[in-house]
Amino acid sequence: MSNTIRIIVVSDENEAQVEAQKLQIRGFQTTVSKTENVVLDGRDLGGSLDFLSDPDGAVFVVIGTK
Amino acid sequence: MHIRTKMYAVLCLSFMLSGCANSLYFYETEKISLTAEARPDSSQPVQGSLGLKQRVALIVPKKSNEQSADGEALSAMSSFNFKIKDEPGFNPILIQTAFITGAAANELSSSSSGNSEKARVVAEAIAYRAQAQSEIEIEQQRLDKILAYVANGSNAIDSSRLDALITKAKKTDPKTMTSTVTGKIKKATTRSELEKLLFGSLDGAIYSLYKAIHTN
Repeated sequence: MSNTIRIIVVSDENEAQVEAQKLQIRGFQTTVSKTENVVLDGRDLGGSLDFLSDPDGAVFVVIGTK
Repeated sequence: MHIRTKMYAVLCLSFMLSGCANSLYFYETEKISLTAEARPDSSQPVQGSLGLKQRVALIVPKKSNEQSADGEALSAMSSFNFKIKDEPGFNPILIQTAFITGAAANELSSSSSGNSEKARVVAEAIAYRAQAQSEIEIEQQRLDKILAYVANGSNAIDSSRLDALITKAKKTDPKTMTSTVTGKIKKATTRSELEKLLFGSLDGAIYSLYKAIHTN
């Protein structure tokens, strides 16, 4: 069971892969997903509702769990 | 100023060339020499030279002693990468070398149909890993300076110094140093707690705090 999830959203695939490797070095298990739009909904925890997209191309979401 | 760095990397799976005909023999040396020369006269430019000498030898036995034997008993691949790291000051040199044998090397061989794509993917993964490690090393160095600044040699955090540092960092990087992030950082009371928090989860805040050390 993980106790921390890291979510990194970037517009560059190479950057996403490097971030995934950095998380792995820090002990996270990672996945990298390619998508067009990302909705981050943290309202229930007192955060905000964000809609993220890259007008020039795809968005890459790195999810790390530890 | 004269600086000379030499690196010898020798990996021998077998030195018994004459006695063991079925052994794989691999030998590699790298010698790197860096010379920099500066003169007191400011009109004279700093001069330097960088040299690299590499020797690689690989002897692979045949699959069998039969005259008609086709192919080699072991496949081997060697990779060597040398670069000067892009860091301020006197740039450190990074050398990365890899040696792959057997089925792994055979799988990655571009001569096997369709495997060049695998080799490219593996090469990219190695490059990503190397860059990640390089970035983490830089983050660790910055984190050490932050810890030295707020802990001042002891394990206890000087909360007033930490608060002042956070305030300065928040002014320059408000998107990174949000209330949630700064609240978490302020809760750290010991050097080890702060280190675990910043390095483990909030590494995005390291650069903002590091910059703030030098901000008036």
